[in-house]
Amino acid sequence: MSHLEILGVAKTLGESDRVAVLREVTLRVQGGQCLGLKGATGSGKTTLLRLIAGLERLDQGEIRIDGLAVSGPKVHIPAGRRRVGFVFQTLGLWPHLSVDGHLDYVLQASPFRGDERVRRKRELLQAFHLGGLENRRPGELSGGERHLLAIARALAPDIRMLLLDEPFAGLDGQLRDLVIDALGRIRRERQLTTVLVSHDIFELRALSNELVYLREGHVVGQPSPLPSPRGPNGGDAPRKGGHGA
Amino acid sequence: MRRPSTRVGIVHAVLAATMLVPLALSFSGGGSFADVYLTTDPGAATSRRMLLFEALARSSWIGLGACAVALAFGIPAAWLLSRRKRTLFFLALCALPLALAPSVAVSGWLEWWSVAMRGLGGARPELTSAFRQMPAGGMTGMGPLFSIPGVALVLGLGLWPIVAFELWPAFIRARGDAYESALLAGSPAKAFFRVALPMARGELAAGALLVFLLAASDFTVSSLLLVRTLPIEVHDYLSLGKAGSAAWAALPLVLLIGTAAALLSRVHARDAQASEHTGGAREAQVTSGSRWGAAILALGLGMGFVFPLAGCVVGVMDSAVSWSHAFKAGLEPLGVSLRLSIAAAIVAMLLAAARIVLWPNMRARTLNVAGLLVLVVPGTFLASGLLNLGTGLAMHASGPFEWVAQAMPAGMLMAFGYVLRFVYIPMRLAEEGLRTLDPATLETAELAGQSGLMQGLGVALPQLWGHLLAAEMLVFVLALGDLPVSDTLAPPGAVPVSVWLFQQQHLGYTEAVFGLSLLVGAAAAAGLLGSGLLGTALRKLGTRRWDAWAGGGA
Ligand SMILES: Nc1ncnc2c1ncn2[C@@H]1O[C@H](COP(=O)(O)OP(=O)(O)O)[C@@H](O)[C@H]1O
Ligand SMILES: [Mg+2]
Repeated sequence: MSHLEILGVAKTLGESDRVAVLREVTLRVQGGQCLGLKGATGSGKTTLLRLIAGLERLDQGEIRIDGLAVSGPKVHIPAGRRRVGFVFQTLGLWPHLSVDGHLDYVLQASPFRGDERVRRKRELLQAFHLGGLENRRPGELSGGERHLLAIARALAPDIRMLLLDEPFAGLDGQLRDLVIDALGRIRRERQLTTVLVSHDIFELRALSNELVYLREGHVVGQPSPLPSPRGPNGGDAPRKGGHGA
Repeated sequence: MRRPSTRVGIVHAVLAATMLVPLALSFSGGGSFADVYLTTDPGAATSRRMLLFEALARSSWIGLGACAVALAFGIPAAWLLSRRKRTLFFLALCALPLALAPSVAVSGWLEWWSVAMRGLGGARPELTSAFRQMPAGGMTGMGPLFSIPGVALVLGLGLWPIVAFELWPAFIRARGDAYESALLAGSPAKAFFRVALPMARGELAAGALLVFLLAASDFTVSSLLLVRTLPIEVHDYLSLGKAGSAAWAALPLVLLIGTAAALLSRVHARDAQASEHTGGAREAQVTSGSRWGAAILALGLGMGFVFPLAGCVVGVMDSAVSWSHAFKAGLEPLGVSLRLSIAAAIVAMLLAAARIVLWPNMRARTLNVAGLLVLVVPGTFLASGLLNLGTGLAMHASGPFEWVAQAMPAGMLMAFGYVLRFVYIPMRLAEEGLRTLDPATLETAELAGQSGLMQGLGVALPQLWGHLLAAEMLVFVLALGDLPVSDTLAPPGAVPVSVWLFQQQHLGYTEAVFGLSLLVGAAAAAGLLGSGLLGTALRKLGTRRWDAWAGGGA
């Protein structure tokens, strides 16, 4: 249950022609909640996630996790110490490692050992329909399976926050529903604070409690609560509109 | 890739400065600025300064000519290479012209020329060069090769793979949606010239510039073909024992090169940014234009490798002596060279690995510029600086450090010279490889709490061993064919094969010269293709080792 605060964050990118990608973004995500982030391409969504993860340094403002500043004008906790899971738009799978190898690699630096590690791996493989594919490499997986692997890998270590950058973009209808279900369940079980970037209102509704629009580096209006079918407290309200898994 | 952090930036700057120390040291030898620029030899019509600038002009013409030849072959070859994922073996094949030592190429071409003049079996013309009395502007009456265009042609035919390898990744990027969209709107030729080529113009400029620099600082070919270029003037000062004068004489060329090198690294930096935006390379399967590409590639390989080497075969067969006699004289020098080139190649590979592991997500522009500079300055200039350094160290190594000087194996300075001269290749290949990686692969490891070192070892290195192998084999063949460093830094009593060959060539083109040329050419080709085969085989084996490694303590 980690509480995320983004306070007046600004970021400029580019080495020769500098672009103000984010200007004065302020957002709050309560512990265990999921914030949906929508916006046109180039509006700065990916950059915001990268700032939260600590992959970029910010120019202005502050990011706090559980009240503790992780990014600010004078502080920068390295990405590896923030315990954040990230599913990249490009996935960033490791071509030389098998499915098993992917999970092992991220678990190396985690506190899980022995049986616990094995159990965690088995759970994830099962939840994301990767059972039986343990020895395949990304090159030998379908497009959908690669997405599943990227999500499973992000969830494997002991994280307190999950950042998803258009994670379902390559999945077809049925598989997407399965993944959203699995992801929603794990999120709720572990009470993972989440930021989900997506263009699809169905995906956003299925997972987020709140929705916010980003335009040209600004937050537009106030975050609007979403009447999520899952409910903000994890209730199992019935799904609307024929998307049931 | 990111810009290096301040701390890493300082480390890079220190390393780069260390690389340049030998260049600075070479000014400390005998002779002076005035000696080179302010005096006129008694009895000479023009001042030394004038002679020097004429030589510089010749060097520049040679650079331009070689550049044109290299572009003519390199562009089509790169287009063909970009068609689909190529095996390392195929890449090695394309690098053959680069692997052929320039002096070997000269042997081959001269034999063909003399065969054309006299017919097989006729008396061989006396191609003995009086090195010291070499007339300005080349010799006449000895065939068209003994001229500025001749030197440019021989160099360009050997250097075109550089253009091909520079352009190849850019073409792979361009081959995706951009080229395919253009293909839908017009002919393949139009799509190539209006879309693919402009998209690769940065790399095109970089390749052309690199060929220009290497050709302009060539010593071997212009010396064998009797064209007085600036590197020859530099060499002459050196052989008179005036290392300082030599350094001053090389200065105009070094300044030219320094400017160009800085320019080149700007081009690379800009492209690195561009590729980050579009998310890196993709594979495409478009096949148009491949027939032309294949024909020109074949011609380039023929002219750059097969034909000159065949000339050496003809040269050996053409002489009445037995094959074994022709080869025997060169075996010992070849052994010396092989040992030291292999040592240099292995060190170069380790350096590439170290660069990948230490800074997997950072550019190393300072290192690349310094590496480029030591690659393209006249080799004699670099070598004389190293020699100063070596003798200085040996002299001052007393007391507790004496053992260092004594423990240095013979030839170590030469191997070190090779590594330094060609260090640009592992640095550049490492960076090129890192650029092709999706940054997210490293960042995921970072998020999982893996240290920078572990990111390099676990994620970057396993994806880039092909680049390491390529660095190893390129440094091997270049060191084997290198003349200036070998000539200056050879350990006492040992004669590297390139030096031996060069000396023999200046005495005349005998069967021993052709035999030795053939040996050197064959050794380089075998090393190159062998590494290529090894790499291809290793990939096929699809080692599952990395998984076990990733499991770590699990
Ligand atoms: N490395 C970079 N250098 C310069 N501009 C960049 C860089 N990365 C992203 N940008 C620019 O920043 C803006 C926001 O990018 P991004 O956060 O990826 O947007 P989104 O994910 O919303 O599509 C875009 O206009 C993009 O062109
Ligand atoms: Mg994005």
